[in-house]
Amino acid sequence: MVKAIELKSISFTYKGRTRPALSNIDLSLQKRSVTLITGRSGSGKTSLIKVINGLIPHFYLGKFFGEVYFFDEDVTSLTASERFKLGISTVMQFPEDQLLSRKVWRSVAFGLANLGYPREVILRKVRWALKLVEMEFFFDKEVNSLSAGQKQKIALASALAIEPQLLLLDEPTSQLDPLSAQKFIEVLKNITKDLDLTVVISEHRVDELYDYVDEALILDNGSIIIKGPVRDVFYNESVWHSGIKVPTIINLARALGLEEKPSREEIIRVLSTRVKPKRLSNINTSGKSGEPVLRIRDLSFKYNDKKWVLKNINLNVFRGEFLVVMGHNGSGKTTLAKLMIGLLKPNKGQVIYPEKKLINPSFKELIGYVAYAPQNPEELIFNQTIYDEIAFPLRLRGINKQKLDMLVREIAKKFGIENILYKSPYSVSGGEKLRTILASIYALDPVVYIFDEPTRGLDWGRKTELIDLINRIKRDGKSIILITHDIELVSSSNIDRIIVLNNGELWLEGDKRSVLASDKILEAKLIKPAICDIFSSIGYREIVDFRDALTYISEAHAP
Amino acid sequence: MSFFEYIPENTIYHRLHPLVKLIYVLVMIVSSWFNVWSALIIMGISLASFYVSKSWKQRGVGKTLTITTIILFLLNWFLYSVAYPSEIWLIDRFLSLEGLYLSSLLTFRILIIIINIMIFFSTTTPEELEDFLLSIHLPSSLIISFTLTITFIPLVANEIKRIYQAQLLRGITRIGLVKRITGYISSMMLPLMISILNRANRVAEVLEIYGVPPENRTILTNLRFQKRDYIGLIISLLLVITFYLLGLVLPPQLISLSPYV
Repeated sequence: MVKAIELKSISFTYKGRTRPALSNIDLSLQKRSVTLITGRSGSGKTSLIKVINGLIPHFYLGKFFGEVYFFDEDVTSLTASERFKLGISTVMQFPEDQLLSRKVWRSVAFGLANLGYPREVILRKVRWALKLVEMEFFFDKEVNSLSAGQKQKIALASALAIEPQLLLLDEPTSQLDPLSAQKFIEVLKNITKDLDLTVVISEHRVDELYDYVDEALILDNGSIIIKGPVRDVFYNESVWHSGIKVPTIINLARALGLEEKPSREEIIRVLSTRVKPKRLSNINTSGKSGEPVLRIRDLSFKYNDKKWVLKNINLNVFRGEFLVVMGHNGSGKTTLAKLMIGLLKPNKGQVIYPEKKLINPSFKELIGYVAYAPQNPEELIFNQTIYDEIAFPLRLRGINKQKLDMLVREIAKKFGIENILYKSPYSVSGGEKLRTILASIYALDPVVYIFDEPTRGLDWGRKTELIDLINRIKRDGKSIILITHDIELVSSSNIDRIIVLNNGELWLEGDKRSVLASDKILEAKLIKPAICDIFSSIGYREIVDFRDALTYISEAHAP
Repeated sequence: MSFFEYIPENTIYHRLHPLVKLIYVLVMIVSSWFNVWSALIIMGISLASFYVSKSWKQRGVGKTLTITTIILFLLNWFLYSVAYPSEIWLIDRFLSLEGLYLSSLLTFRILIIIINIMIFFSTTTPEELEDFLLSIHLPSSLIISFTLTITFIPLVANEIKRIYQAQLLRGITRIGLVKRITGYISSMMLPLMISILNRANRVAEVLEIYGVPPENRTILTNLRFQKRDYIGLIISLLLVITFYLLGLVLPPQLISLSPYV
């Protein structure tokens, strides 16, 4: 077999750092193979991709050892730009940063223009690449008018336009909603079927990729902990405890006690013989009681244009409730959040905070009562120490020094960061940063917390950690509104209620089981959790999370 | 920052060749310094162009122009008053009538520069600008950097807004003015700088993996001169001659100034 890429003893330490990002990596990928790289955030996935495309060591300086071969040619000394000309193309994590023009066709043509092709050839290649990603009708559209999923497909088209031999994808679906991610992966599958292409994809989304990739490798602390055929890798016990998301189908095989690395079909066959419907435990809806802390009445909103973004929304949020707001991109989730925090005023209807006796308040009136955490909340950090970050809102409130010190320590303890109080928030891990900023928001002692897609781009471990932190806040009687389209996370979390928005309408409302099991969720351009799909295929549509699945499986082994 | 933002419309200004617009803008800016009469007329033309080209649709334009005008005017009034001797003091030894006149004139001219630059950028797409600059053989890496900066302005502006709103909800508006100002600076600047630097780094990575700097970048759209472009050039030429002649036939100042000024 022809080796498309070969890495020999690669080690790399970024300039100014002491811990190596990659240690002694040996890797060989066959031509036309599809390889998945996965691992926790900071494990070295992106660095490995950068070694292959040449950004390391030519763009990112540091201590580099080892050799890189591309079809048996030593390309170690070639820059990313030179490797691009050889046919190594990359799709990055953030589509907005990769689309360098306002128009779709010019964005796809960007790399080709740099290679100096004549204009006519460029146009032909652009049309071909757009057709490959099923976006040929978007040729002359504005990039800004596209959804995140469409943008990422355009980024894929621009990588494919040079007809590469090696396609690298660095977490390409991390910014997409589940349906867009699914569609993106479908497109990728179709392309690799037809083209003479080797694919390396770094991803957290293993459920969708499990049946697509040939090989997988798992990184931890810059080293490969396991590599091989995908089934062998995910059936390895060390992977189950590594903090990465294991495909649901593998977890089911473990629950069924299957040890022979069976195929998906075999697992489903065994499952169908072992499932016995039982009474499922009641879903906890403890939060939905008493007086609401937030009432939304007949709310409608539109921006300058004539199209309504939200239409006639009615909603109560109760004290101590954990409410999840779901919906496809553009369904109105973030607009609803902005109306709740007073950054927008409704055209019709009311946002009422009964305890504060506020109707359609401005955001200034809500400071201290409503907390808002945007995507990547840890980006809001700005103080020198974690102590100062937590103390910042307390100081603004004029709390005296002694009480402030006591409060900071108390809050730090609650969020498990009491031992790193005097460290710089920039030097700690991603998880600790997240805890720091949540502690700082918590210090204002708000009653309602609104999290706007905070899990986007996080690995599975960090996502579950965030949900754990949110539940700690909830236990103090706080109301939580989590805006997300992470269906797998919602499926595996303890939440009280879900609402689904579809094109600005309140489409579906209820507890987790009733919403996720409903087919109406598909009409809202969302997808069902993987466990739900598997059980639906054998006729049990009511299973929406793994705990329910275990209840139905006789003699189940909890994975 | 939004001064450089493109406004997608279909006005006559949008349809002109970038070279014609560039010449027109230069004519306006340079001619406003010929004489006071030119400055007054050009301000009128500039405001009309600003309206017709729909450049007023740029984000926060009214607020920014008002604040800029007030600051420029007051600062210049004070500086002119103390720098030049006066015969008529409106506030003794502090603000003079001559200072008021000269400051107004300078503010006018600076506003003409700002408004015309805004007209140019709000009616020229970054792609047109790129193709135009490539066609006059400027270095492609410089052109790509420049046009990318303009392309990413709306994204950076949204980023600023997002961080600003999130930080405000952390309590900064609840406090006194001094603390609020220091709070704004510390809590906004660092996250903003980190966010912008992160984005810049990601874009630089993309440029690197897309073969920048290119040896010979293809011009993707051939911008051709149309009839309207030739008319635009003739009008620009006529304007510059007219404004120059105005200075020769009309008195040099609107009011009688101190002989020392």
